[in-house]
Amino acid sequence: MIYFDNSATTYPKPQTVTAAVSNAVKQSSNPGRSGHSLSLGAAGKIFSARQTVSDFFGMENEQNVIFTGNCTTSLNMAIKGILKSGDHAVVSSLEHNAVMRPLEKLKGIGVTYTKAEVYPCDNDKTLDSFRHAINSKTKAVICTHASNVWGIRLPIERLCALAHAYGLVMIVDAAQSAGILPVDMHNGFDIVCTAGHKGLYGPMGTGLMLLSEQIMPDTIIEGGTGSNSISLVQPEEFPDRFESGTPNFPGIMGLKAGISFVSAKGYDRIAEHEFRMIRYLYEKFQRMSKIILYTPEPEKEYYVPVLSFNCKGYASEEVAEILNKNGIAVRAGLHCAPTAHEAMGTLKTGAVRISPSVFNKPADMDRLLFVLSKT
Amino acid sequence: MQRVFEVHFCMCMHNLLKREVIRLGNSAITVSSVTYALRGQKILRSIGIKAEVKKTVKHDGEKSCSYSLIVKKEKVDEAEQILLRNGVRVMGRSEGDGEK
Repeated sequence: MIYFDNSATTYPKPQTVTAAVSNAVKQSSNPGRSGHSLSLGAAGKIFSARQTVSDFFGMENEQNVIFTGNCTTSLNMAIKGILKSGDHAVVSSLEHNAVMRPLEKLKGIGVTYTKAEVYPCDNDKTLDSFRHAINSKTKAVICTHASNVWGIRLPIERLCALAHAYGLVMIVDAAQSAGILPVDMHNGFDIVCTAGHKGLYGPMGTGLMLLSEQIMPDTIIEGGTGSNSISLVQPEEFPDRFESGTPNFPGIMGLKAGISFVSAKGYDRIAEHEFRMIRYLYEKFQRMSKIILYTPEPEKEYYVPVLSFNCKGYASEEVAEILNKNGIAVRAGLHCAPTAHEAMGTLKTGAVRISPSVFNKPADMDRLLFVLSKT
Repeated sequence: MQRVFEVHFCMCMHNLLKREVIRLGNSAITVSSVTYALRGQKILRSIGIKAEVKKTVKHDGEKSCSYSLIVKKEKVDEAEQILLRNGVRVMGRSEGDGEK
């Protein structure tokens, strides 16, 4: 199968990731709970994984690396840990439901939000849009680094500076950018949430919440941490504060291997490889009258390598099914991001999304084009 | 005879465990979590102080389910200061009392 659904999860995984997960399942014990060698050994490996994450994202303190089950969990922890009754948040017009649904839920306690329009290829206008959305009750700016539908890249470093100029918390959804674009905590982000299983090539069931030194979100999950068990109060120390329950040890070992894979290859080389294929596809699409495109030709400065389109005369899911029958995996529909589709006028139709990985080859794009040309 | 053997066995195990945790010449710095312990070990190792991580044996209220960094007695003052300066929360110290 030719797999173009890497925005959902990357496939295949590097061999080192599969091996790391397999070894962890065979050898693991519950880390940070018991005092025996197996438990302490597992705790040591988790600590080493924290260090790998911390180094990758430019963090000073590995304790501020929080392992979660996925990016959605991380975003829920961040959003609900920061916003309280009466607070206001500014989000972009391209957010995934992992941001929008928690905010909708928080409306029940009087939290409000404003969507700031994103202007592709015009970061100044996007910044202005966010600036105008801020009001006296705004507590946080929450936005995606890159749209999971359109690949549009937001200027999060500048947005962070804007947020801090107004004394706001900056929360970044880096699900589509980690492993492709630089995501460096030295830029001052307060919280970065990302998936472990997309651009970081880890297994599903892994996510990250990265915290700056200054931030102390409230907890939404409390429980056993293997520390100070006599107290019924959730510990304040990181990472225990946010990591109740048994960690996904095999997943974390796989994530560590995935990040090492990306580091060894170089995220910029991976991005260039994927961009080359997406630009090639875009050029070919422009010459096909049946293909509907919604974004300009993607440039690295303003996009990540994700491209969505439609075929005239076909529903997006129909195109996906035709491609599936021809051995090509894509995702069609609304991609859990109705807000992003609303911004582009595709809320009723959805779209077909192509998201390559480091393991795709240019010939895969030719095969996709061949099948679409025959449709 | 059986009873004498059982009591003797228990005392041996008790002494063995005590010896295993904190040997003569060593001290233990107690921290609240395994992550703090491992971080502390890394910090101390980087400045040349060898530290072993162990689950704290004593039950002492606040020190329940805590971890200890076992270091040489003559280094413990320095080690504790370094940990505190690097943001590792220290809950207490214990000294090794050796074999009985």
